[in-house]
Amino acid sequence: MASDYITADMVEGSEFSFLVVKYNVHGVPHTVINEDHSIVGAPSEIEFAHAILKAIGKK
Amino acid sequence: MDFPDFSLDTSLLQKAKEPEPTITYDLLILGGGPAAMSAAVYAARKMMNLAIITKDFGGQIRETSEVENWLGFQSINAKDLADSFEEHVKGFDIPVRLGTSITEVKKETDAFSVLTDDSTMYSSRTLIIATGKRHRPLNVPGENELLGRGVAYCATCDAPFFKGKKVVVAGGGNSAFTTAVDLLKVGAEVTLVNFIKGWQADESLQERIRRTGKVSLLDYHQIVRIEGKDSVSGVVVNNRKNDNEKELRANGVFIEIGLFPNNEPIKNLVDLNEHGEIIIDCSCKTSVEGLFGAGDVTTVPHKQIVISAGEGAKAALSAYDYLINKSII
Amino acid sequence: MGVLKEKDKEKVTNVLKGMEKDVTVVMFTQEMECPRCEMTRLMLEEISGLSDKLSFEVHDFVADADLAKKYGVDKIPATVLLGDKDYGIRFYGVPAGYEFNVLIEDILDAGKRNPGLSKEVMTELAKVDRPVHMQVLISPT
Repeated sequence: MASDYITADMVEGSEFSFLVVKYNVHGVPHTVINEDHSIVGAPSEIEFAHAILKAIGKK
Repeated sequence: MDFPDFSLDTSLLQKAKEPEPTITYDLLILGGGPAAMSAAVYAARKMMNLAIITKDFGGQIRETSEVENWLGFQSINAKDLADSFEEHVKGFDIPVRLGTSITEVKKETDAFSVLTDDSTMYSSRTLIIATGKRHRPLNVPGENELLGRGVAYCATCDAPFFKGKKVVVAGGGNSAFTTAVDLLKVGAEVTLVNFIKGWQADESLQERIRRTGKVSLLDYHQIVRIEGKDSVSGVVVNNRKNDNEKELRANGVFIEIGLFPNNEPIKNLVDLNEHGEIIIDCSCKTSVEGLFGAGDVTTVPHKQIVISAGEGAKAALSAYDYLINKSII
Repeated sequence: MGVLKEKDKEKVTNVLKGMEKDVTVVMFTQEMECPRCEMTRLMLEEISGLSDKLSFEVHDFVADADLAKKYGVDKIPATVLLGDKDYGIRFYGVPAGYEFNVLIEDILDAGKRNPGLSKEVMTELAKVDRPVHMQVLISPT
């Protein structure tokens, strides 16, 4: 909701196991940003924001 | 039709108000486990002006499934227990700064300043450090690189991902053996690797594992490195008896070798013992006036939920007494 | 006999009272409905009845393929939350256990038109200037 550029999917790992395999998930929560960046675990909100910026190549 | 769990936990939804950086509180509690939550209840009932700063509520209880030694219950689901603590705290309308970690704590002239990871500064006359412990890492190559891709610290959370796979569990105590039990339940093939000789877990747990005949036990072996590119493919171990190295094929490694106290923000401020735990007396006082410690992060001899809850209560009451004696409240 | 227990229905009703504006829940399923799609649909039908600000639409993934494509929905069951616009919030799979709480919270945030994030986080996110697709993989507990 905070940004028009951001879409967020909650994906049930057990129902879509092909994604668990595709993204090499071994622990949850496992967040994939734009297909190639991964965050394992639940960081704080600001850490998440920084990870998003890093994934798009910003500060 | 058998429906899955569609139940609402209102404590997850109430966005409690947040603490103000402009106020100097009577007490700031750092942490969110049983010690912190118990301290919050006691401080609130003493009508102290307090706030809590924590990443989340629950602490290590959230990593286990059942608790059998919390007074009043033969066995209680760990999540239910943690949720009940959280609901109790939230009933007091205490400002909470959630989802953040603490960068630094400093002592100023009349108060303490607490800096969070997004550079917000909070101020308080007294502090309770109840930040608990986190898993001790092996510190071997491959561990950080493959975290979440085969390297795990919490069986309750991650065992299901290793159904029918080969897993190495590092450790020789109760945590390692309990992890082995959890993994066997999902049909994993388990090898336990312990650095020192023998096994330190409770006899009953050891018996339980030995009786399955399904677990390989390698004591006096050192884990040298964790192999794998996109995910864990194996673990190289060294037999310390004869210095022979071999690779164990594995899809996962669970590291259960003990815990580190979360003391980073205060380690230059208070006295710590050789394990990094905050030294406290039986009133939960630390080496710094006005700063109190409670729970697993301290030198309290036994790390148990019921003990942490007791310590939290003591710390809050000590903080209260301190302020009364200084005529601040 | 409903999907939610009475106690939880009451809690959800209470929580949704905090909604200020309308929210539409759009769900994609298919004609030969698999059990998980059916469960999700029945649950969403039930909760949409608990607030007059919440409305519910069901679509067929195959028959309404254009709509599915518009929302970028590529798997079912899929749940989309709309407020005064598409916020890009999707739930794939049955939102049960912890995820059920997330669903209700998201509906509430959408209804308040406010994600409830700190100023610092909002400042950082304002720097995002190209599409970011986040997929949070979870397991039902």
